[in-house]
Amino acid sequence: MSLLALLSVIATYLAITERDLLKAVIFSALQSISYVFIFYLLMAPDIVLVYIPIALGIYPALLLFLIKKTGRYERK
Amino acid sequence: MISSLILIIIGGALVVIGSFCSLVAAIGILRLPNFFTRIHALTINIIGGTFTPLIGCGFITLGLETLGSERLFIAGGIFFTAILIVILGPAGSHALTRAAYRSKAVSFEPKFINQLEKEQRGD
Amino acid sequence: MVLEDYVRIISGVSLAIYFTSILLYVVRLIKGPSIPDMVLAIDAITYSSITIFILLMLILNTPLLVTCAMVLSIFVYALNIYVAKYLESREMGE
Repeated sequence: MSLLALLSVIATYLAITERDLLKAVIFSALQSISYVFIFYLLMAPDIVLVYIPIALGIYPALLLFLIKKTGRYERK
Repeated sequence: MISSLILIIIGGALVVIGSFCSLVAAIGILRLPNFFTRIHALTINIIGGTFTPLIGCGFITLGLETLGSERLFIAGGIFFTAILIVILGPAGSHALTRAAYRSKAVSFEPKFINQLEKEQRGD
Repeated sequence: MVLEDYVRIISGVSLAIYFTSILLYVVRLIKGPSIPDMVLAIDAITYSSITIFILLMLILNTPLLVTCAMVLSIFVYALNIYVAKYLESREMGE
């Protein structure tokens, strides 16, 4: 479980320091999947049932819609 | 008693086959040179590495007598998950491949022949 | 009792192999050269994690945990569809 927590920290760092915003969305998906693992190993199935449609269903759709409306690459 | 023994042995064999397929797909995704060959390794992971062990786990839970009457609930959930994966998985990978081909976001670096481009040019 | 030991041994060995394959997928995701490669690695991680959830449920003997795998298997391909729609719309728009 500590390995999964370390993986989520690495994914968050890569998502923050990324210039391409589409890659940042994919790294945040990796972070949410490692959180799903941690919630499962802590024996909390109700939080997993609520967290999966938010983190894998609504959140990337909203972010990709915003990226489509604005620009894709971040300015200096 | 003998039927539960047969079910557990068949389920264990399916789980071992699935873990072997998952290892092969992991090495393939890491080492293959092109995107359109990596999607082949992903399909090995979907059908061989996820669908087959789920069917095996369903047989194992049907065979274990010590779980009591809750094993029918568990087996129903596992079979529902397996059928959902075998319907939704190839649809998602096909949509991703079609978008990657039409938007030219990937490179075709070791390319021998491209039959689709030759047909669309009108030969 | 012999059957339970057999199931536990097979589930433990398969669990170790699945965690090793997830590490290899993470390596491909970090060094992936283009966008669809990274989406492909995320898909592979999620499909392996469904199997890990089912095997852990068999080891821990807790019947309520099977619903997590059902919900996760519905929402796997959502990221595929979103990224494919984004790429194709950008190609159609210009």
